[in-house]
Amino acid sequence: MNEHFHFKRWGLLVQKHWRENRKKYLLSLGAIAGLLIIWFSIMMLAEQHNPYSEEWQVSTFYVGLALTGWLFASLFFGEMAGGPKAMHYLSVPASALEKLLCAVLFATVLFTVCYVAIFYLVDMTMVQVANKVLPGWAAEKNVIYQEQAVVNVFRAPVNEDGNYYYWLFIAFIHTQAAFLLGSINFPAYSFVKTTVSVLLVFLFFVLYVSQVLINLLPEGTYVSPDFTAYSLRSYDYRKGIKLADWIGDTITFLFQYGWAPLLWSVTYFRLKEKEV
Amino acid sequence: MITIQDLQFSYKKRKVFNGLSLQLHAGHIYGLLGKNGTGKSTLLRNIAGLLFPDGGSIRVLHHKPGERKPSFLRDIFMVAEEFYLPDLRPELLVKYYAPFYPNFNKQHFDHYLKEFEIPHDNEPQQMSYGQKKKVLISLGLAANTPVLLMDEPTNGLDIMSKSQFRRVMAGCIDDNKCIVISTHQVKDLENLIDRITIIDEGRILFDQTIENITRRLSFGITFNQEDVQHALYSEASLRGNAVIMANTEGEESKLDLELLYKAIILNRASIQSVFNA
Repeated sequence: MNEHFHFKRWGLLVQKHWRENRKKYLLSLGAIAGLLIIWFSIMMLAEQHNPYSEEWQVSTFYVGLALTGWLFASLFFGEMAGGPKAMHYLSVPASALEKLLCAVLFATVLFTVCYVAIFYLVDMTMVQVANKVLPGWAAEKNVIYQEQAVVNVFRAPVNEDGNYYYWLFIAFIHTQAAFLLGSINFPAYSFVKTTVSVLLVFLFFVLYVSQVLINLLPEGTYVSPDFTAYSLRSYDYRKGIKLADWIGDTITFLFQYGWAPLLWSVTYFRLKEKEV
Repeated sequence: MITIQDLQFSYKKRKVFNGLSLQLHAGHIYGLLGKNGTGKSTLLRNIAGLLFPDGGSIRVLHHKPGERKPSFLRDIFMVAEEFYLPDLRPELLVKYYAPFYPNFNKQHFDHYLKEFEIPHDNEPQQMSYGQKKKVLISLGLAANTPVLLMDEPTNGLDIMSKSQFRRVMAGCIDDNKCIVISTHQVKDLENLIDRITIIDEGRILFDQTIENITRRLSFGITFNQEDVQHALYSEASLRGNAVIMANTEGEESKLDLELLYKAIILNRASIQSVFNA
């Protein structure tokens, strides 16, 4: 049997994990549904002529996904905080890779699928409720009620340039990987410590570009988001430096898709070297 | 089966082991004795791959424990002092844990639960600490792993349960298993272990088989002051003086593990001299 990954063994681990945690997970999903219902209801009371605009639904989806997802991921390896649970977890006869993939499956894939399902279940129900209840109220108050519709949170509005919703989703996957790493790195107060760490990394990046790199280069400005093109201001606006396209493409690709695999790899090694 | 050579281990600045070497073989129940904080649990965790040595080496069934390979983890089971038992009924524990252990025996598990008087359909929320521990011990024994480590297994068990534990353990040893029981409650291991290893301040103070101990030492109670003066170790008790003497005449006596333990901690040189002779 392969020491690193064996599908049957991984399947057993997934089954075991689900059976041991299903009550907790189902209750958590119920709590998310409850919070969404409360939030949709508050909005219905606050904005009766157009409670569920496209922007509002999209914002609710992504803010809810991020907050609950990060919290869920930061609790995943929470069992590593306590000695007995950590000993039990590390002693289960499965490889670190299988344990990591089990964590990614539950904390990222299944969580996201379940959140999307719950969000749309609540969204569709509340849109229908709004369309039944609010027109009557609007007629009474003599205001115009805008028919509500369920939006596709993964597709950008037709008048927008580029599907930034897709990138929001990709950003969520990356940050989710960061919180999963945080849950094994910071056994206590994982959510807070990971949030602070992510902010510090982001701040470091901004300061590095704005304070260090800028000072190393002649006066000018970056003209491409991947930092591969630079325009020299002091001489001539037409003069600039541009790296080869493949460098820009590689940086963009890694920036867009590389974070989560990188963070999962770090999580794998942290899991392997975990002592209790 | 377990070979430890020149083990070095420390918690930050506190040195626990400085060159500990030990060999443990199949077919024995080892009693790992020592005061609180002497490194018994640390040693077991090093063997189980839950802690990594700073130096030296540990080999368990030719595996390096720290790598925590599945082939190693399925050959070892540890019942920790502070343990975690998943929130599952015993029958579900078997369903979800047995597939990980190739030699798991469901009939053995049922037998152990019966011995411990734990119903199969008991909800974990209804179980006491002691009952949960007995379920975990049953699971560990039924897993039939070649190496079974138990850290203070009788802690939290009542008198009847301790007796059940001894009965269960006595029936489970076979030539392919190496069982290591760490405890500071030495009385609980009497008549159970066949080799005693006492560690103190990170080193082996004493390591002998029960057979060798009873062949070389005799244990008894005496009122005779001359015997007390010649004893390797003596201790006043209500029944008289409990003594350990050199067994020069091949007499058979019942091992008093607690007395031996105290003798080794307080007067090791005289006890050791008998074994060195």
